[in-house]
Amino acid sequence: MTHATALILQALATDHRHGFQIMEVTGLPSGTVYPVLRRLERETAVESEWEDAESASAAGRRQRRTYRLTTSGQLLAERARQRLANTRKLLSDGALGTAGPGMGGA
Amino acid sequence: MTQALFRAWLHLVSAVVPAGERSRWRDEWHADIEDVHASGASFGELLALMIGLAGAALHFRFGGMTMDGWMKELVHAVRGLLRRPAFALVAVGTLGLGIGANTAIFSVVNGVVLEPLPYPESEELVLLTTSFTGMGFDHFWVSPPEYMQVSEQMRSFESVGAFSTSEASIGGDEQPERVAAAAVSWQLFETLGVAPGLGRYFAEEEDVPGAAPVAVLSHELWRRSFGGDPGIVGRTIDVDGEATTVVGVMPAHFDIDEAAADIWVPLGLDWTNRNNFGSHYLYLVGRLRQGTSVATAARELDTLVRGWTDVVGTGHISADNHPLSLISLQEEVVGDVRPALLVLLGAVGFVLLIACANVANLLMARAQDRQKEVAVRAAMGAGRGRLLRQFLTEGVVLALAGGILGTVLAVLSLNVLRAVSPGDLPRITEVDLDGTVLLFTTAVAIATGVLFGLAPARYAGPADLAKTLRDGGTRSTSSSGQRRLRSLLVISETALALILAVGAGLMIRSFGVLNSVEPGFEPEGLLTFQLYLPPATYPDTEDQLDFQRLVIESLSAEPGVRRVAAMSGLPPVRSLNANDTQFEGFVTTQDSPPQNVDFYQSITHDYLATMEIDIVEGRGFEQTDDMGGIPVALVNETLANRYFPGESAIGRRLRPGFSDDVPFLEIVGVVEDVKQAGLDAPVGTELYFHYPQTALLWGAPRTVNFIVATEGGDPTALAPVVRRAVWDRDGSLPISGLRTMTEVMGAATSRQRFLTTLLAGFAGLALLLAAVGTYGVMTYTVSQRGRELGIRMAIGAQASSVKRMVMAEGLRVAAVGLVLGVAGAWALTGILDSLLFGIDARDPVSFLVGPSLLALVAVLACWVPARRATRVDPVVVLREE
Repeated sequence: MTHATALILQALATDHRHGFQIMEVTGLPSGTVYPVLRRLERETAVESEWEDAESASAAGRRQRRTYRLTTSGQLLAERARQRLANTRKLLSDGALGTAGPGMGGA
Repeated sequence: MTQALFRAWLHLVSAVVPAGERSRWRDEWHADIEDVHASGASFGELLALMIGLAGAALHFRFGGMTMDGWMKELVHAVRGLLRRPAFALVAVGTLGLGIGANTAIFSVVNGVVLEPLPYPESEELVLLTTSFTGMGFDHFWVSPPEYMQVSEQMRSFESVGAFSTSEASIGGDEQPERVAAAAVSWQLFETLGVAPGLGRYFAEEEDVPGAAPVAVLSHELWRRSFGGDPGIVGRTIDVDGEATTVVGVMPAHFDIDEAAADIWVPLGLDWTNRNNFGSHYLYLVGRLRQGTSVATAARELDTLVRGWTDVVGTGHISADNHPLSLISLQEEVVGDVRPALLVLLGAVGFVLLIACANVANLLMARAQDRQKEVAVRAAMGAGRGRLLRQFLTEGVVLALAGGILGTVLAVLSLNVLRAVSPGDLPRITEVDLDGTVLLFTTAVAIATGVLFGLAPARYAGPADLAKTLRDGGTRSTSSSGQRRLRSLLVISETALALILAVGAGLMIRSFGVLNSVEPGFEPEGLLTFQLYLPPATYPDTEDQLDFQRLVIESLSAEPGVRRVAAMSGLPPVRSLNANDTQFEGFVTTQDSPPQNVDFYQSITHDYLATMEIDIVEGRGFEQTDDMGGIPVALVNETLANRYFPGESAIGRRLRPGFSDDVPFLEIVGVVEDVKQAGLDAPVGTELYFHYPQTALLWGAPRTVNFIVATEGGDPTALAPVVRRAVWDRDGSLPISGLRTMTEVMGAATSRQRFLTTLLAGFAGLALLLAAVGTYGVMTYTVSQRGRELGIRMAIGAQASSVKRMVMAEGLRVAAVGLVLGVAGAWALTGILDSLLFGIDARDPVSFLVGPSLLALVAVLACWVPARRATRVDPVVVLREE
């Protein structure tokens, strides 16, 4: 699992459900977010649907595509959460600071 | 504008997404873009989003690839292009030229025509003018009482300001300078909504008659003449000989309706005087109240003017013959250059199309050359996706290189355009390359690369593969479909180039006609300059006339000077006077012209001889026509014919205005018509006064133009003599407009010259590209048919017949292009109608020369490859078999 995938899974798990919201909360570019979403959808980790037309027109905007995690996606998201937690621990321990670029791939 | 480009980009990008999921992603991205836009993202963030989407679309189409993989692909593509430097150079150069010219012209159109004026909420600003329908005066000035009524009574406007333009002599830190000036009402700056860069505007109490003089300076004058002195506010400077306090400096590039004023002084209207309804000299700028439309304001204005009959009686002012009208300020500033610039944009768009057609041809030809390489790679297991990716990268690299070269060329040509653009092209100083333009360029470049870069991929299919490998790769073949497509590209570029050539031909012819217009005087060998004699140093008319005489006498005594004269207005372009003039005994009827003369001209007696203006009837002025003699006048032929048709004007009498205080003047001579309203405008009526006589009757204009006729040689050589003659007598007088009459004539046609030069340049570029394109295709065809030609010659075909055959084939295609081009030009040149002078948009000469030129180019482009075809060595060809 790439770091980007982990971030996107984590965004979906925390109820960020639209492409632009995921970009905003993860800081990942559109060129990364959409391919990952597409792959996750093909792997049935997420499913997506159009929001209904009425609520979109009530809000005066276009219909958005909404993503949500499937059961297998939730398992993946949990793995992602652990992975991110490890990364955070690594960063707070100053591992990158002391070990230098060699640890960059961790 | 930006939104439209984003939408266009989105369509382009989603076209790359596989068809099955295209609409889904397009809709999703569209919604996301709007959400990001609504969240207040910057242009840069939106741009990043759009580039990212392109990346995503490519990913969907060609499968995932790491950054490293793309880098390798990139290096491979660059290497591939470097291996064929001629191909890369021509393709990149062609794209660069097309994109560069487009970006430059698009920037100019964007900056001059499309961008809103640099005032807050500029769409609310309108310009108010009057017309005199009976006299054919449109876009005329407004009188002070009319302004006051509009300002006080109209509810559609939040505020209305007035201004009138003139010139002023400024005593700066060094030499005194003559600059464009504007007298403005205190409300005007507020109406425009631009804050001063330093200090303040003038206050209401400073804008009354008799108030202590104050002024606001332009940023440019402040920098130029006062060294950007931060303590300028509160300083006293010399304006037209009067000590004037500077109260503010406007921000850089601030301008009102292209007046290019360097100094603004209060208008000082007397709001208690409502009598001078007939004195029209103001332009008004109004700011519409929020939500009020131009139409609503126009209706209110009409109602207001209809009520004026009660105020001013039924003189010559009524709602029907003297309506007030309003026009958006943007339209006023850019309205009359819009057609010219849009024509240029269209022309340069054609150049880009031709460039793209050429590059497409190049890429297709190269694709066929690479059939073997593709087939071998496919046979060795490279997937179709992998091959597509490779070609795509090459196409995009090519396009981006073209885009970069184009941007560089655009920056360079923008600088050139700014430098050579005519002085009257509005807002040209505001023109700059901006993000929108760059996005546009990038999109065009990448679209070309993506579309044509994929051409070679067609040979990666299994059928092609087998065939190519079977052929052993010794020759490449092209299907009839490809040949048709290539012919179609040649036809299109020939047709487009022809349309441009005809258009440029029309402009060149029109410019020629304009330049051969007889101005009514002989501009060769004349030097002119202008002086303003300020009331502070020259309080009386006698002082002004004395100084004028001294300058003329001293210049006349100089060696190399043949004659010297002075006059109030400098032909061939000056502003209309439209002065009411009473013709003695003239009976006004329904059909008679109004008693109003277009141009008043005060002259010294030598003026006609100096300018070589012919006397048609009677005599010119003589030195004896002074205060002692009877008051006399000269008129031009147009005036004589209009007011005295079929009879002699000599001996008839007229007088300026209708006041009994002014004596009648006797017409003693009729002179040849002289252009005054521009070379392309009809000659108006003109009335000449003799300075020494009429100046003493009702005063002389303080601005005097001098004209010096040389005895041959370069008139500019006399410039130091002029300076000495003036400054020896008054060192404080700025000399403005010191130039030859030939330069004055050149300035009168500068906009047409600019347009003609650019259009001719684009047509030349189009011809060159079309020639390269035709040559390329013909060369390629010959190389493709080398075997066939070789066999033909081996079995006895004559070189000349082979040459004829190849030429005929190429010329057939070119002929179709020529026919289509003539039809296109015939349909399109109507657009040029408003820009042409003195020739018809269907001018037969242009329609003959354009196609002939293109036919010649086509013959040359076919002849070289045809000659090469006859040099095919049959032995070599047959050995290959």
